[in-house]
Amino acid sequence: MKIKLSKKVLGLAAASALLGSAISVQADVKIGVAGPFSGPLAQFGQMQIDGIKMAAKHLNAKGGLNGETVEIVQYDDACEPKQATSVANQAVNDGVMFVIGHLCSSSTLPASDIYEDEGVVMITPASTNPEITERGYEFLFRTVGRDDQQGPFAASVIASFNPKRVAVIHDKSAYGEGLAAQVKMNLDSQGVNVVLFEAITPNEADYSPLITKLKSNKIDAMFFGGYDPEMAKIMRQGRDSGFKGQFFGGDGVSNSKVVEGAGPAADGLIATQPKAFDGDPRNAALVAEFKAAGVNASDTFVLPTYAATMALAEAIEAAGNFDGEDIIKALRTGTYETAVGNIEWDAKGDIKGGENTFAAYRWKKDGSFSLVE
Amino acid sequence: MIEQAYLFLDHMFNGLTVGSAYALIAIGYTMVYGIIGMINFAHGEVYMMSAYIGFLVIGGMTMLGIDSSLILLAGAMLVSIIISSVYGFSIERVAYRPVRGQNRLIALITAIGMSIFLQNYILLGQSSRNISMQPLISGSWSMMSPGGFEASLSYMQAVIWFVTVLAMIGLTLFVTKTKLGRASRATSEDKVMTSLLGINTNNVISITFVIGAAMAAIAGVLLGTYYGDVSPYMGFIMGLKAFTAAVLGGIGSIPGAMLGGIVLGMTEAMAAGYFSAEYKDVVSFGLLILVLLFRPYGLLGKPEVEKV
Repeated sequence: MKIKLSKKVLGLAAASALLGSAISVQADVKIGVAGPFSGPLAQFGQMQIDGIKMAAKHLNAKGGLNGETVEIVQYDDACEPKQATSVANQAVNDGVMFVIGHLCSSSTLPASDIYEDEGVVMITPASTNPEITERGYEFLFRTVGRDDQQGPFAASVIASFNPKRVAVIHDKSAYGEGLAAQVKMNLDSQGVNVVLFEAITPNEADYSPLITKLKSNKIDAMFFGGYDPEMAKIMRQGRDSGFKGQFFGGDGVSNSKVVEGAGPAADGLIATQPKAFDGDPRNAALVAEFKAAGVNASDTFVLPTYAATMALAEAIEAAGNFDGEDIIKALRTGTYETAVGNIEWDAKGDIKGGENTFAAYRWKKDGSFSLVE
Repeated sequence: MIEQAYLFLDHMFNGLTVGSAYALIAIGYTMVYGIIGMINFAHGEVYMMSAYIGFLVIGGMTMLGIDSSLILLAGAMLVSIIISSVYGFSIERVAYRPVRGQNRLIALITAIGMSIFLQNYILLGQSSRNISMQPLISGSWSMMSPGGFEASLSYMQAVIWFVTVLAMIGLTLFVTKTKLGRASRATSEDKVMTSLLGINTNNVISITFVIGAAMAAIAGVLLGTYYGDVSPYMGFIMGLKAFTAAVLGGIGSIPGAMLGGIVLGMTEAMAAGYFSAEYKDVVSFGLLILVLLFRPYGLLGKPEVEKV
C-alpha cells in the first residue's frame, strides 16, 4: 500500500516538473552557449560568455527576439568530447533551440550529431576542423574559416621566413592534428623541408624530451597544432634549454594566456587566427562598451561569439518565429553585417570567402600583439 | 658518436629532473605503505596543493616587494612544507585513523574519497583554471658539441637535483640515525610489538604522514615553479606516476622509492627521446610489468615472508 502511494506521488511530481519546464520555455527564448568554462582551456569559454552576454544585453535592450526576452544558458563541455555529448543532451532536454558553440572541434563534432537530430540551430564561433561541415548537416553553421583554409595560410607564413628545417607538432586533438596535417601538407607542396611530424600528450607538465629532439634535429621553425597551455610550456622549456628556432601556432594558441604561461619565452611567437576586428572603426563603440564591462575585445573569440549571436538573432527576426527550418533558411539566404565583417553562409554552413578570414599576429612578451604583414 | 653522447646527456638531464620529482613523491607512498600497509591515494593531491601554496606564497612575497628569486623559492618551500605537513597530519587523523585496523578495502576507498575531496576543495577555492607564473630562475649552462648540438642544463634543473639530493640525505639520516627514525622502522616491522615496548605508534604513523607530505611539498614547489603552471588536476597523474615508481622500486622500501623514481623518469625521457613522446607511457609501464614479472617485490623490496 505504502509503495503504491509513493509511486503515485512520484508520478505527480514528475508530471508537475514537466509542466514547469514547459511553462518556462514559453516565457522566454533560451540561447545556449557551450564551451570549456572549466579546465585548462577555460579562458576560451570566458571569451564566449563575455561575447554572448553583451549580445543578450543588446538584444533585450531593443525588446528581445520576436517580443520574447533572451535568456543565456551556459553548458560547460570542458573541451572533452564525452562531456560535450552529455551537455548537448542536457541542452536539448532544457528546451534550448539555439546554441552558440561549441568551441573545440573535438566537442563540436559529437555535439552537433545531437543538435542535428533534434533540430537545434548551432553556430560555432571557433571550431575550424574541416570535417565539421562536411557531413551534410543542415542545422550547423560557423563564423570562422576552416583549417584547410587556415593551414595553407599558416604554411605560407612559415614559408615566408625561409626556414631550413621545420617541425610540425600536434596534440592529437581533432583540431590540433587536423590543422597540423594541413600545415605539413602545404609546407611539403611548397618545398619546405619538414623533418619532424610528431604528437605530444596534452596536459603534461614536461615536454623536455621534445625540446631535445628539436635541438638535435636542428629545427629552426616549429609549428604547433593545439592549444595554448601546451604551447606555453613548450616555448618556456625550449628557451630555457637553448632552443632558438621560431615558434608558430594556430588560433588555439593565439591569446594572452600563452604569454602568461610562457613569460619572456613567448616573445616573437607568430600565430594565425581569425582576423581581429577590434581595430575596425565600425566596432569602436562596441569595443568601448566591452572595455567598460572589463572585457578585452581583442581576445580571439569575444567578437566572433557576439557576431554569431547577433546573426542568429537577425535570422530569427527575419523568420518571424522560432521554427528551426525557417531560421536555417534565413541564415543561408541573407548577408549578415556583423562585428566580424559581412557573413554569407553556403549550403554546408561554411562562410563564403573563408580563406581570407585568417591573419597572422606576432606576440610580444608584454601580452600585446601586432599584425604580421 | 660524440654527437650521440651529447644527445644522451641532454636526455639524461631531462630524465633526472622528472625522476627527482617522482622519487620525492614516491617516498610518501612507500613510507605509508611500509608502516600501515595502505596506499594513500590522496598523496598526489597533497603534491598539487603544495604547488598551489607555493604559488600563493610567491605571489604574496612579490607583492611585499621581495624580488630575489632564491628567497622567494626558499620562502615558498618553507611555508608550503609547513602547511602541507599540517594537511598530511590532518588527512591521516580525519580520514584514515578511524578506519585503521579494519578491512584494507575500507581504507583504500576512504583514500580515494579523500583525493576527490581535496581536488574539489582546490577547484572551489582556486577556480578550475590553470594558474601560470613567470619563471623564477631562468638561464642554463650549455655545452656545444662539435656538430653544433647544444646539451644544456638549466639552473632550475640543477636546483631541483640539489634540493632533492639534500632531502634524500636528510630523510636517510632521520630514518637511520634518530630515535624517532628507529621507532618508525620498528613500527613498520611489527606494530603490536612496538607499542608493547612503550612506543606510541599512533604518533609514529602521524610523523610518517607528515614526512611524506613534506617531501611532496618540496616536489610541488620545485616543479610548480619549474613548469610555471598549476592546475587542480595535476595531482592525479603525478600521483599515479609516483605510485608506479614506488612499486617499481619495491613498495615499502625508501631507497627503492628513490631508485624507482629516477629509473622511471629516465625511462620516460629516453623513450620519448629515442622513440616518440607518444610511446613514453607505454615503455615505462611496460618496464613496470617486466620488473614485476621477474621481481614481484620490486627492485629493492624484500620478498614478503609468509608468517606462520
